[in-house]
Amino acid sequence: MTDSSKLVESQPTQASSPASGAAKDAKSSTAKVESKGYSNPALKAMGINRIKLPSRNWMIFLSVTGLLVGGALYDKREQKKNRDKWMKLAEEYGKAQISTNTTPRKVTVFVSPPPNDYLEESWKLFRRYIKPVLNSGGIDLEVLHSNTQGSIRNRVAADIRNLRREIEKNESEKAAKNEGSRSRLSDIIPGFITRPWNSVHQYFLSEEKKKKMAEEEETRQAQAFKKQMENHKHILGIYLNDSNKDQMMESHSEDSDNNKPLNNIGGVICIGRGTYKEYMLGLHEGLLGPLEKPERVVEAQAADEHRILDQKRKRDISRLKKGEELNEPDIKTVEELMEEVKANRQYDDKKSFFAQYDNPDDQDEEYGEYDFTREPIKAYLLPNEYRKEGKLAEEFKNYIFEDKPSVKIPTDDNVPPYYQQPICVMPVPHLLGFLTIPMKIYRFYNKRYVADELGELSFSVVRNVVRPFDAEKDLDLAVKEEEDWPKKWYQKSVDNDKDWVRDLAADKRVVSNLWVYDINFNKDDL
Amino acid sequence: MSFLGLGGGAPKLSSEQKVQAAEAELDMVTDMFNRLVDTCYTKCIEKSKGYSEGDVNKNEGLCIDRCVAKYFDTNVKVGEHMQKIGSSQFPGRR
Repeated sequence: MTDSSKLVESQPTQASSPASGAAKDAKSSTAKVESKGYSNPALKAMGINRIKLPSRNWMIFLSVTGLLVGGALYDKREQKKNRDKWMKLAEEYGKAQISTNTTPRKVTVFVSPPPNDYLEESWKLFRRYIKPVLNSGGIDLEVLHSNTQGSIRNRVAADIRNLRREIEKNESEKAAKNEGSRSRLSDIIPGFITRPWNSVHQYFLSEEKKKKMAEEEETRQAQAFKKQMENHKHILGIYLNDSNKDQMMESHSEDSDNNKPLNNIGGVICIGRGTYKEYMLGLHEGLLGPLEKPERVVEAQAADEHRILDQKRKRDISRLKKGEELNEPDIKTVEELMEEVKANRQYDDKKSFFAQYDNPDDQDEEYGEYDFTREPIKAYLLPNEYRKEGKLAEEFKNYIFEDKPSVKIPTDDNVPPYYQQPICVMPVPHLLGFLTIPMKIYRFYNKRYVADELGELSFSVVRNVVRPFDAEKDLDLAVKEEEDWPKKWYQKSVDNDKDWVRDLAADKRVVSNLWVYDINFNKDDL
Repeated sequence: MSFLGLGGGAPKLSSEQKVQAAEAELDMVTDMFNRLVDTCYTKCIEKSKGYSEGDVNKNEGLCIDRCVAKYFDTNVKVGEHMQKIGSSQFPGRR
């Protein structure tokens, strides 16, 4: 085959060789006369001699760059289209009327950075694809973000524990009050109504006492009047003679409406698989775990404290060597530190990582600033202990039940705490590393699908239709993201017993009360 | 403020100054309030759809809430900063 083709090829060249000189001449002369490109007299008159394609190399360069840039621009345009599509759908919900003293539904958003990268990466997705949809749907946001693994878990659990303590305190106060008001007679004679006895008692009161009581009543009224004067709206303005002015002026959240079903109030958005894991772990820890720190956590915390002190001591020593004057640094043993940690048990729950965001004004006074060198406090209860050691918190016995739907936990503003609100998990596709570059390029040109997915999820939050949490599939929400996590980082996290690499476990007692936003809707119906 | 010239009240000049200061303050507050209403109205109502409906909808309500909160915060921050600059530039005054 090769031989024959060679023959065929070689024959014409040999044959043409004698005439090649003449042909060359002819070619060069024609090249001089008609060159490549297009020309006409009109163009020539304008000073443009010839219009022609650039050289081969230029063509390659231009087409490659054009393709790369064009692809990116096309993707960008499609992203915008996808986002606008969901924004438009959400806008209908944003147009709903609302009275002037009502604030719209508020959603809590948890954000944490993808493994080995900055918070900005997750933040970008939120800003580009999620927030616009929520905004046009007329939804208020509260964003909580962290930089370390475990701080969201810690925060959620600490919040629940704080609420448990509060309920406990309120209930014991209530009980004490009931005890106090019970008269001696009613103690002796069960069923004796206290009130008549009280009025009889009143009759026998001495004049002096009556006078004193009248004085007290007067000061009470004076204080009430003063309080009323503090708010100028009570003494002037268009509401002055309105009978239900208090109701009209008092601002309240849409979520505080008692007629709304519990599963349609507020919402929780977790951005990233890791954030979701932390949220679920925190939920279980808070609801099933103990109220006080177990020994294991105290030890870990003391060890961490000791590590920090040790580092400080080393720094101090190196400064001493340089000749600087320093006080002798005092070193506490781990045992001493454990005592210290035990002494301020509740303190740590209040001084959670987020305290500084909650009340930036009084962060120094009571709880102090959060120390960023410190590790988040370890979990009080681990997933493998849920079944054996986990116990649904006693304090919630009137609100959360194992076998029937839970009841709104009463709070000051009548909005149930966020762990009674439905959940939405947003995936954060994020790759790191050198070998993943082809995949990164592929993803870069296909961001429009991410925009579409996140838009759809955000719209499901706006739409506010929920379904019960299904432990079998909902534990794996955004699980695909875990494939992206770098192996080295994963190993390191496993070694350090971090939260993101734990297996999620769902306990029926907690999960039976959870709700997830439903994304199975027919898009044509909308 | 004294009754029938009795009691030897505060000097007249200072009370006039006080009134002036109060007027200036009132002017400032009114001005800020007017600007705030103006800004938030254009931003939240005029720019969305104008008066297409009589009632406020969710988006407008949220926008107004945020606008007013931010306006106040910024105003306070800028005010504090200006005061700091003022006191550092003319330490002799006051």
